[in-house]
Amino acid sequence: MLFHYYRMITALNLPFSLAAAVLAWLATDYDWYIFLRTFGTGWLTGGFFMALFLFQLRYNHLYYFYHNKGYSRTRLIVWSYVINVCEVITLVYAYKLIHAYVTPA
Amino acid sequence: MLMSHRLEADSIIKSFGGRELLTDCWVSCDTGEILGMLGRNGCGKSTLMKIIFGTEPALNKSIRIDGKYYETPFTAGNLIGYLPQKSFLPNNLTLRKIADLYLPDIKAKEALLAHRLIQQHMHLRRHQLSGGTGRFFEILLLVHLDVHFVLLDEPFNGLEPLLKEEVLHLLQEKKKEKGFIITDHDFRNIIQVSDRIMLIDNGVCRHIKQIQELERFGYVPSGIF
Repeated sequence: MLFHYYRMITALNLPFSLAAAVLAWLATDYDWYIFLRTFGTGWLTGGFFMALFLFQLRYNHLYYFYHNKGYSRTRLIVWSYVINVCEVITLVYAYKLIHAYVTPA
Repeated sequence: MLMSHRLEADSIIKSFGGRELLTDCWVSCDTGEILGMLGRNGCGKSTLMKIIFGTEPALNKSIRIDGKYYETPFTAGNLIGYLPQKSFLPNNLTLRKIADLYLPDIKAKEALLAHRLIQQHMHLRRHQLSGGTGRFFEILLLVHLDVHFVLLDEPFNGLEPLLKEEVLHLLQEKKKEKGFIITDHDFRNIIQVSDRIMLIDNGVCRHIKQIQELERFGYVPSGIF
């Protein structure tokens, strides 16, 4: 159930965070670090809150799908946010790892 | 023998925009019982159900199950389920997947999947069903849910007469193990299926002893019974 909610929120978050990251990437002469940083920031802030807002606007009645299984709105949101934080941390470490191998000493 | 449970909700006060919608309501329901809740449009039936379920805040409330107080009963697990007026099922899951997620109990799931009307639609999604079939699936899902109490908000809305009849039978069968609070504008079916009737009138919960009282309180036209 929690993953289902997470997937719904992610589907709404992704276009916003990706669009912001692509714009930042284009504006900074294709700097991948900026792309990643903007995507990560959007993923955890603007994109996430926009996704929550859109979910509330379009699918408010679906919250009862989760409530009937005992999940409160706060629990669903916190759970999704924690997964997002874990993903951003993984992404940053992956980038640093790749960067360390690719960049000559 | 099944253990009995008791749901009590009292001292409920709810205001909307300066207007007192519910003033000191008192509701009780035991497992093995169906409580019918009637009232005119906008009198607060759905709001009262949401307050009991725990998703609607109130100025004052006391919700107890088996004597234990719950701020939000729905988060306590296996206590209460709620069928809202609008469809609450996501369109990106098939009925089978929803049944898998909702009903971990194999027997309950098999009972749901075995229903002749649902059986043929298990591979479909909620939005691919007709309004009535979708509503019926939602009712089936809720009555098979492993909870002590189920709140049904306008379950007959959009159901064809044969399905209404089936829901009435289902409620009678399932009330052996659950308590139901049910509200609908189809008052004849509510009266038929309920063990007790409650009327919400001017923010007050009136417990109806004789059906003619519904006329006296102006809920139905006089001379109807």
